[in-house]
Amino acid sequence: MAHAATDHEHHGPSNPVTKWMAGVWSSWENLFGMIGLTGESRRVVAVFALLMVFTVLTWGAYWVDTQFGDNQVGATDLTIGLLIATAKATFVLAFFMHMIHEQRTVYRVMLFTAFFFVALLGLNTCAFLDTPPLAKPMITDNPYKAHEAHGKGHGDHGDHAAHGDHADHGGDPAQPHGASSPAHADYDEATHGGHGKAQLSEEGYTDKIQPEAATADEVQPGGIVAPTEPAADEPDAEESR
Amino acid sequence: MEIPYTVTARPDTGMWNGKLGIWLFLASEVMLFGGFFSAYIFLRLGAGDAWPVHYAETHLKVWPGLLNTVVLIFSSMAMVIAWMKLKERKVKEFRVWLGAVLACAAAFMVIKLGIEYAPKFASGYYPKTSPFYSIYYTMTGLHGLHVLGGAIVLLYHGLCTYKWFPGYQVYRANPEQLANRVECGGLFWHLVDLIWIFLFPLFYLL
Repeated sequence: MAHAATDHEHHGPSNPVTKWMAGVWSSWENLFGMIGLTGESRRVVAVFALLMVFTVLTWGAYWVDTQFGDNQVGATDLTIGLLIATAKATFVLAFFMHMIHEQRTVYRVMLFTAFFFVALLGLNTCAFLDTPPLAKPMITDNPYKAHEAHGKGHGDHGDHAAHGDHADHGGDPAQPHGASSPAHADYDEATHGGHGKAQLSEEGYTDKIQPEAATADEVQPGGIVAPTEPAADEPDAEESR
Repeated sequence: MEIPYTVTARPDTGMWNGKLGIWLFLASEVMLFGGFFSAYIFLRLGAGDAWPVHYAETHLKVWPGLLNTVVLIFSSMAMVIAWMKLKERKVKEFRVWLGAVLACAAAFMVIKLGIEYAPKFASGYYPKTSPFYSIYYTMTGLHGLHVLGGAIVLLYHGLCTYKWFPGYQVYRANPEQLANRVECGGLFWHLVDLIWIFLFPLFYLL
């Protein structure tokens, strides 16, 4: 074995792949030496190269999804993206911030912080997901037909008398909701499912929900539908209130 | 009177005071951005399918965000090397590497303000436009302010190595203390990089 080691020392690596790798490494050493990077600095540069690889992976995953995938953000996309980000963050913490060489006090501080950070995100998310969605009115192409369908279905409710003034406006969809504002009508629609109440004004209805018939021009970024302008021959919503 | 434990380690914590202080400050910064990330989760979950994802809706190009990521990661590396050079008392190399950090900070702000924010403002996309834009501007704007603040602090520490600068007294009296201050600034800088590592995929890719 010693004889083989001596041979290696005199003649260098014989394997061409190993030779090539030794050549590349000596070039890097020359480059590092030229720019004054020695010892620990080289490890920092190696970590930087690894972070670049992770960054390219992140972008690559996004590119593959847009080109060949469903181009939608699903659980897989989210998991891959956050996993790569967490890996990058770990390397930055460990090697750039020297967490691997730090005192226990720092570990305790960071552990404490991580616990509350996870609690902040996790508890809020769980609370949000546990909250049932708010009742929404049935969305059809004709909101007045949807309203009439709700009114017929709930006509026998005992509290119908409390909304007796609604009957006076039963046949006119453009008529405002008695003395109440359209917001009151929306409350009835959302919480009681519409107990035979008066018709909603067209302005109040389209302002509150996003109808399926909204065109691309009406939908602003963030999914907000621009309120439609009332037609010239329809009563002004502000005056009717 | 000399402030104790600016260089020597405290017997109870095992580190000099400034280091514990900066780690506690970083913990508070993590909670600050944690609140914003929580708000982002709320808004996104609440919007459901209406949350803008594609470029046609977000008007966010990926390449500026990717470039900013590369710039910040390189600046983090340069920050570590600058601190190492100062610890080895190689002042000229320290100035070069710290200059690289400050150049990266300037590049980040130019990309953020000039290439990303300015066209959006010109097109009428403000924080009030939609929940997406409000959280986008809030989080990236706050992050940009942190970049700016960190750059100012690092610039000050870099100027402390020049004889004509008033802060040179610290370097002349105790170079190790200046190195410790640079380390504190560097830790803050790495946190700024860390935050961007999570901001980039959340807004630009997902």
